[in-house]
Formats: sequence, structure tokens, C-alpha cells
Amino acid sequence: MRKLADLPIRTKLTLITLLTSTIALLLASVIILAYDNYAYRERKAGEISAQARILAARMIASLEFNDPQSAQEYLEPLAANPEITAAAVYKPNGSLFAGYTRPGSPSPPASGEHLVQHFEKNQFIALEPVQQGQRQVGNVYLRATTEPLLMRISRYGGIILLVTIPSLLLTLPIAMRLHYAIANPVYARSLIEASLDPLVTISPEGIITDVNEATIKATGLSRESLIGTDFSNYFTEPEKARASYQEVFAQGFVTDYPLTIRHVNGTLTDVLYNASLYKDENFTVLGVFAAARDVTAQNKAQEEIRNRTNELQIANRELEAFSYSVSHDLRAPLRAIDGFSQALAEDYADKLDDHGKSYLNRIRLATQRMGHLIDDMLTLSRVTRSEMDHEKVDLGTLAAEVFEELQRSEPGRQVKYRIGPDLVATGDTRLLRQVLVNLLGNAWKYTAKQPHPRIEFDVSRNNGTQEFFVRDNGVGFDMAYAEKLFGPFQRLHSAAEFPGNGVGLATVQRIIHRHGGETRGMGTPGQGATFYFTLPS
Amino acid sequence: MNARTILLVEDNPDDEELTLRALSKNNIANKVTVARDGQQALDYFFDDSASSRPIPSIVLLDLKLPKINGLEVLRRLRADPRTALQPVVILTSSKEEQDIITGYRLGSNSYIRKPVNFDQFVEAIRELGLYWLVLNEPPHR
Repeated sequence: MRKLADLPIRTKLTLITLLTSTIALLLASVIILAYDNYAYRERKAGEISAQARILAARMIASLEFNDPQSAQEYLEPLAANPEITAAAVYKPNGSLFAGYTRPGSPSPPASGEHLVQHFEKNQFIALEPVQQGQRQVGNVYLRATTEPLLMRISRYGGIILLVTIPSLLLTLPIAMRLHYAIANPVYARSLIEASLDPLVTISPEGIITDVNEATIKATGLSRESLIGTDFSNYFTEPEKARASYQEVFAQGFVTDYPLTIRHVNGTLTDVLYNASLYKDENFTVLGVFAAARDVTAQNKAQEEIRNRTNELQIANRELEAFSYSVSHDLRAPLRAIDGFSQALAEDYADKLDDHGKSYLNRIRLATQRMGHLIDDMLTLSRVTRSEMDHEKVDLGTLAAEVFEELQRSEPGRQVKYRIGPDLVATGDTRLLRQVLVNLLGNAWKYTAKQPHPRIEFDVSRNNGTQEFFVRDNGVGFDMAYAEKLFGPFQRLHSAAEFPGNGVGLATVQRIIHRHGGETRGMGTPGQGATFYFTLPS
Repeated sequence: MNARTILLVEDNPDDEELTLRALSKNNIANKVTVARDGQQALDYFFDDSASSRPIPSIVLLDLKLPKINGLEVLRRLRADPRTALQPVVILTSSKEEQDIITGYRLGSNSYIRKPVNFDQFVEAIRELGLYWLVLNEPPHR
């Protein structure tokens, strides 16, 4: 059921009108009925009492001469009045002297004692003393029916209905028409007041002529104290506020005009004003209608983003400087260690035994390993920092180039390789090449001990995503360590077994993640490994 | 060998020693002048007694240098008509892409990264010497 509160205001107004008119009509009817009832009874009592007095006057002689016959004769004509149902004359001692009863009605009481004039249900009992001078010689009793109240009420009810229904029917269309006229502005006004945006109308002189609730909230001032004052007073930059409505008068509107409202408590609200002219039906400009949108939160968020971006840029620049320094300064000492070890081995060969020479050799191997490690770390960090292109990349062609390079680096090795057709993805060519260098390089490396090495590069397509994979039949790995595969500096083989520093797959993962893809590896010890990566097609 | 000279711009004494060693191991006996920072390198060409010095057939220029860095040295050499055509090879530790691109944009004639492995370094110096001191014809007199 719809609640009363949910009804449209227009319906509510109509209901109220109908209800009040009905109540008014009913109330009036009840009052009239009550008064009429009272008046009717008064009149009846008057009439019957008068008749009783007339009778009493006539009964004097009959009672004085103890002539019930003549009394009876006086009573008989009462039959002409249908209202009178019974009449009696009593002697002063209360004994019945003469009586009359309308056929079908109860007889008058047998004793005239203890009778009082009063209204009973639907009847009036009148009592009148019969007096001769100062002496009471008897009593007259008259009983008259009164019209039953219920009947009168129902008759009145009929009249009320007869009046009410047509008048309501007449009221309804008038009310509805009136309420449309009343409710429309009320409805529009409610909308204006409900707006969370401060709304204001300004006269051509810049004086506020109307405001809504949101304006009151934003300024902290009452409607009365705002209306009639200068619009520009309530901004941190009054000149700019003045310029804004002057611009509206000049060009008809302003859009997203930035201003700051100052609350009386000092709170500032950043707003964007949209304002336009409003005119009467003759197109005479009456003023400016201005709506402000609170953008404090947005501005704050933007400021936050700016700050964070700034911090990030600073951090990035520091990282940049750091890796630049690493690439320059960390390598120079290594070169010196390697170079002078070599010089020592050459120039002092006669002073060193084989042990000494082998130590020098170890020093040189270690420095070179560290050189590679630095290079790989720099590659890894550069992968995250470098700018990225988004272009169509033919991974098949790239893979073929990488295989050629691998073959050139170890011409003696016989590796069977297969590259699938249509291996096209979107991404950064240089970075994706790095992925293939690492994955195919790994496959090349880990099949070194396999008599019939096979490497495959292809794609599997599933539900619109394509998953590329590099499969080899090399040493493989234990899936128990699969989680460690892509972590930097994580290795599943010793450097003596297979050279490497554990940066390759970490680099692959970073590149694929930057492209919005995923990586995974599957392997079986002794049977080979497959590395998968997805890329947006 | 000939009378062509080399200007080595290098602040690290280890690298200086190793470069000289690599040159001698390759029997490159040409005169080598060493500038130990960017200012010294520019002074070689532009100070008052610059005219008395031989014009080097090749400048081997490190990038990370005290006072004035290598790329700035290169920019100033190219900006001056006297040295605008001077052959300059950047010989440095890093291969930061930005350095390589800036180096070439500023008019470097080559960009060589010093390998950590001394054997490879010696080989690089051999090829450098052969190319710039023997094969290449310098632009000046």
C-alpha cells in the first residue's frame, strides 16, 4: 500500500480540501441538527403545555361541580390532534377524574400523584394544575408523541448527503485546478531546495534575490541575511565573483567558472559556477540564475594525485640516478680487478706457480660474473622504468632472430627448433624481444645436456586470449619450486651446473606484467619445461 | 706507427693505466695525452697554449667526469668551429640508452662500452687504434 507521504503533493492537497469541506459540512449539519432538535422540543413543549393550560381552565367548573361527564366531553375533541395520545384529569388526591386514550396507545396513569412534566422517549408529558383562585382543584395530564429523533436525523442525513455529494463533486475539479496552480511552484521550489548545489539568483546590480538551502549551508548565513546583499561578498575573490556575473550579462552564460565560497566560520568551498540569464515572458532580463558545483573534494583528490605523481617522479628520478651511477661506477672497479689480475698473470708469470695463476683466474671469472649480474640487474630495473610502445609485434620473426643469434654464439650445437605461424601480439618490440631472448636463451641453455635438443615456440588460443609458450625437452624442473621461478635472483640449478644469475625469468615476468599479461611455468625433472605468457592480442 | 696522437679523457687512474696498457699490448706507440677531467679536456683545445699542441687524431672520451661531464665536453667541442669536426669516440662504462642517443645526437663519432673482461677490452682498444689511427683519414691538415 502506498503511504500517504508517498502521494504526490497535488493529490495530498486535493485530499485535504475534500476532507476539510466534508468535515465542515458535517460539523455544520450536526450543529444545525442539534439546535433544530432543541428548538423542536421547546416548541412542542410550549404547544402541548398551552393546550394543557386551556384544558385546565375548562376543567375548573367540571371539578368544582364534580361533573366528570362534562370533563370527558372537554377531553373528547383532543382526538382531532393526532399528536396527543392520552389525556387525563386528576383530583387533588390523585384519583382519575376523566381520561382519554387515543386508540392503540397506552392509557394515562391511574393515579395523578408523583407526576412530573418531562420528555420521555419520543413523547412529552405535560402537567398543568387546575386552579380556582389560590386553590388547586385538580391536575391535567397530557401526553403527546414527538417525532422520533432518529427519524429526524435520518431525514437530515438524507438532506446532508443531497447537499454534500454535489458540492464535493463541484469542489473536486475546482480544487484540482487550484492545486495544480499552487502545487506546481511548490514542486519546483522543492526541487530547488533539494539541490545539493548552491543555487542563487542575482539582480542585474549583483544583489542576491533568492537562494536555496545549499547556499545557506555553504555560507552559514540565513536566507534573510543573504537576500538583498551583494553576491560577491561571499567569495574569497569578490572581484572575480563580480566579473563572473558581469560576464553572464555580457555573453548570456558562464560555464565552470571557478570560485571559492567563504563560510562565516572560515571554511572554504571550491565551486564551479554555471550561470545563465533569466528573463520574463517579454524577454526582459530579470537577473542571473547561478548554480555552483562543490568541487572541493575533486580539487583535493587532484591535489593529492599531483602530489603523489610528484613524489613518484622524484622517486623515479632518484632511481634513475641510482642505476645510472650503478652502471658507471660499479663496473669500473670490476674492470680494474680484472685488468690488473690479468696484468699480474702476464707480467709476473715467472713468479707465480700454477696455484697462484688459478687464483687469479678465479678472481677474473668472479669479476666477470659480477659484471653480468650488474648488467642483468640494470636490465631488470630498466624494464620497469622505460617508456613503452604499443605496436603490432611479430613474435615469430623476433624468435627466429633470437635463434639465429643463439646459433651464432654456439655454432657447434645442433638444436631442432620450430616456430608456429601467426605469432602476433601488441606491445613493445624491444621489451618483447627481451622476453624471447630470456625464454629461448633458457631453453637453449637447459637443453645443453640433451642429445636431441628440441625447442618449440607457439601459441594456444582459448576464448579470445592467446597464450604463447616456449617448450623444450631439457632438464626441466620440479613443480614444487614453481613459485620461485619468477622471483629475482632465484635459481633452481647451481651456477656450476648451468650458468646464470636468476634475473632472466624475473625480467620476463616484469615485462609481461607491464603488458597486462601473465606468466607461468610447467616442468618435469629430466623431461623439459614449458613457459607460458599471455599478451593482449 | 705514425705521428698521430691520442687525447684520452679519463678521471679514473685504474682505467687510465689499463687503457695505456691495452694500447701498449697492441703495440700502439702513438703519443697519448691524458686529460683527467672535462675542464682539462677543453683546455687542451681552447686555452692560451692550445695552438702549440698537436691536434689529436682521436679523442677517447669518458662520460662521468669531474667538473664538466663528457657529454657537455662533446657539446662544447661541436659548438666551436675549431673542434667541430674533431673525431671523438665515447669510451665509457655504461650503455645507458639515453647516453648513447645523446652522445650520437651531439655528434659523437662512435660509442664504445668498456668491457669488464680485460681481454675483450684489449681487443676493443686494438680495433679502435687500428681504425682511428691507421684506417681513418682525419678531417684536418
